[in-house]
Amino acid sequence: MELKAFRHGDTLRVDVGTSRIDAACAIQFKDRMREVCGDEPRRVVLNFAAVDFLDSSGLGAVVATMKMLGKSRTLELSGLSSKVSKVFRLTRMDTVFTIHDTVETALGAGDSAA
Amino acid sequence: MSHRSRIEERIDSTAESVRNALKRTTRALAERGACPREIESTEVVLAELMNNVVEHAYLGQPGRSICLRVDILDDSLSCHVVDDGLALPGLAPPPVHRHDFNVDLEDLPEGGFGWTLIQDLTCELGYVRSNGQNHVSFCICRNRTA
Repeated sequence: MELKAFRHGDTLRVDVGTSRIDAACAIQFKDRMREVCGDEPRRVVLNFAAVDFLDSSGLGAVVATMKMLGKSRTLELSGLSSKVSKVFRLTRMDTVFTIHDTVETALGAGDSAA
Repeated sequence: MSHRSRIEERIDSTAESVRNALKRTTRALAERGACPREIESTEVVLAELMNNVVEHAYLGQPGRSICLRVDILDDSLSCHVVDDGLALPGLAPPPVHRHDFNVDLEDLPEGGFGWTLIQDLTCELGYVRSNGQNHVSFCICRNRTA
């Protein structure tokens, strides 16, 4: 599970380097996210641009990550492919997360220094 | 039914085998002229069904088999998944459950999305328990543009 984290001011950008977040790696995703997010910063933006496929286990791991961050921090998503968007839309999880078209838009929206 | 219009797989009961079977199946569907929307829906539904088999019918036990068949028809992709694990509770696909997201953060659901996706993306979803086997069948409707 390849996750690369970059600090942009008050935002942590996390690029997901694996093409599938599925039942085979959902637990690993959750564990790695816990490691890379640490205790700060407040805002975390996941970049899904390299992710082609996400199943319900993967979706559960993304929700678990948001819960792990707690109420004082936020998890936002960006760069969803049409296939990944469809899973969020059909489960109505697109109403739970703030979703940006691209990670660049997300960083622009949250951090003027980015 | 010509051989060219059928995709068949027998795979081991692990999440890794499911992932690899999905990669092969989506590639085969593309080669046989299925459109991206049809392939996406098939991949999502097969992923949910087969991972359910791994997790619930076989309780995570590897070394059991899952049989998968996709028939490429003019108006639909007709799919069958067969396993010989535990039966579906109630001997039927569960009713669609719409989660309430208007809850505290810690109460947000982390699961229970699989059957929602399956029911939303398929038509003619069927389940039969017979001779100790689970048979799930469904169709993905195709765009009929000549």
